[in-house]
Amino acid sequence: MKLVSFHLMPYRPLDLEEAAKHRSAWVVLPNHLYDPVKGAEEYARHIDALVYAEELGFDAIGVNEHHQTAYGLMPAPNLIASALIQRTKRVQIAILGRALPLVNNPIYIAEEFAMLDNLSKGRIIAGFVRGIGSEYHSSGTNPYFSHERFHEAHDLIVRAWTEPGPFAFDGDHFNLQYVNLWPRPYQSPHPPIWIPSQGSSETVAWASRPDRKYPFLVTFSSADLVARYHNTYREQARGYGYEAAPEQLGWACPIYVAETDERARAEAGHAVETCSTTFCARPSRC
Amino acid sequence: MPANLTELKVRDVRVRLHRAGSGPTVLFLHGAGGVPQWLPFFEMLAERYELLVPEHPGFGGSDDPPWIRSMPDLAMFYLDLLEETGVDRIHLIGNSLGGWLAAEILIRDRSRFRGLVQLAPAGIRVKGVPPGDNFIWGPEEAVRNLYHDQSFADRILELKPTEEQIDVMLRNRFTVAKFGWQPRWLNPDLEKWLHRIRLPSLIVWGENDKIMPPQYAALWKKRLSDARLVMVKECGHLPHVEHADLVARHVCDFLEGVGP
Repeated sequence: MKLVSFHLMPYRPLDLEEAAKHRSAWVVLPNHLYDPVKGAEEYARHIDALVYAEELGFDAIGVNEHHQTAYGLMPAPNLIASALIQRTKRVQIAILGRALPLVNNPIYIAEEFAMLDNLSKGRIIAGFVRGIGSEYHSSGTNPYFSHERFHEAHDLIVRAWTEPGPFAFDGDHFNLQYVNLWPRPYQSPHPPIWIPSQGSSETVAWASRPDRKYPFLVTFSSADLVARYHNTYREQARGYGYEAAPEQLGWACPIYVAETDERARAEAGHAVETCSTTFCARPSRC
Repeated sequence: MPANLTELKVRDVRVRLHRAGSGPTVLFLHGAGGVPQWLPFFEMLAERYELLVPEHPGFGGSDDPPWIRSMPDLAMFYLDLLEETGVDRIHLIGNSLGGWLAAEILIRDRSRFRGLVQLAPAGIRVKGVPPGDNFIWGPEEAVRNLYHDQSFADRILELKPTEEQIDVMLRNRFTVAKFGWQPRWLNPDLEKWLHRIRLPSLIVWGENDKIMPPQYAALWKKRLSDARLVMVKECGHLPHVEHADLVARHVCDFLEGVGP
């Protein structure tokens, strides 16, 4: 088993009382509630925590992408990944993940991952996600075409990483005369691709295909749901004629360790609750 | 007079059509809510006109072909439909998304049409005045924000929809997102062609519309070459629902003036 220390980088100084007056901590929470002086300190401390995870022996450190929210201060997770590369030596750096349908030219994602892979001499794990509902408000992307855009962007990025350029890419959403990546990724054929998901069966079927075998990470779900999605993945793999390897199955959950359960609850209870109430509260239709 | 429910098939797309009355043809293009019920407004029109109320592809009981991807696609499909059915000399009424659709159809080909009634149409933008965002509103909020008179909302919110109705609402919602999500309720290339409509037009707008703010009415009036504007007091986004008698009277008087 491999362990990833994963950070959401919340804006902890948030005035919770003030935030509760608004529909959500996402998309519409007025940004005057963000104080740049406190926010800059947050970045410094969050990055220190991830760097410290290398010293503690974690296999990887992880960052992710969310927009226009106090829940996470990483609209551009690759910037944080770049800072982490400079301050670590050994750990893999997992970007879990970039939301592919939200961009109008996925080549920029292919380029940035390739740069990070070179900068880190091959320590990058590339996560691809569709992005949760709120992101479709904050990016002005039509969710109706989300699946199409995700698949097309994925195909474009993998081809850009692996096929000799220049070549032309003819998609319905992305159409490019010249695809010719400089730099190419450091890892061969490309950085590992992981798929964090909340468990749609379509995504499981897509990720487990024999030509992909992408590790599937169940995010923030109860233990029985995690087991169910992992079993779905295993069954799907068998349907394709192979056994899913343990490294194809992952999950993400908040863990807090103290001397006793009671002490752990006393120390972390409030923070965990605030995360799932105030910070996770999303616009009703997102 | 109850509507007669029929089905058309055009280019392999089945379209459900509600039809009532006789006289000159009036085609009503529905908005984001689809056609969940036969309205008193429809009854009133059907006393003098042959009223056609199709459910757009992707809504209600009509098919949802994957190649209809935008409002211009939907408009071109309706031109195919009208050509195939041979209907002519049509008065066109559109509400909200349906008004947007009416404009997209008419800038392409107005030859089958006589008069246009726009009930709080979407499709263009008054810069600096964004439309209300029904995509982010909660289910109750979305119903309440449609009406000025909250008793209309109360009656709808009291209804317990059947499984089948919930499926239809979900289906409508997907289709509405396809057409209206980005940019919100807007085709940036529509406004510059509105001069091509060149039909006698009646614009009806609720003074308390929370979806398409009343400032939009003035822009439509400016862009349509031959338009009369009626602002309705104490009225939200669905004037033909909230003030059925008044709006039906205005519409019938106007269409009378246009002639068959």
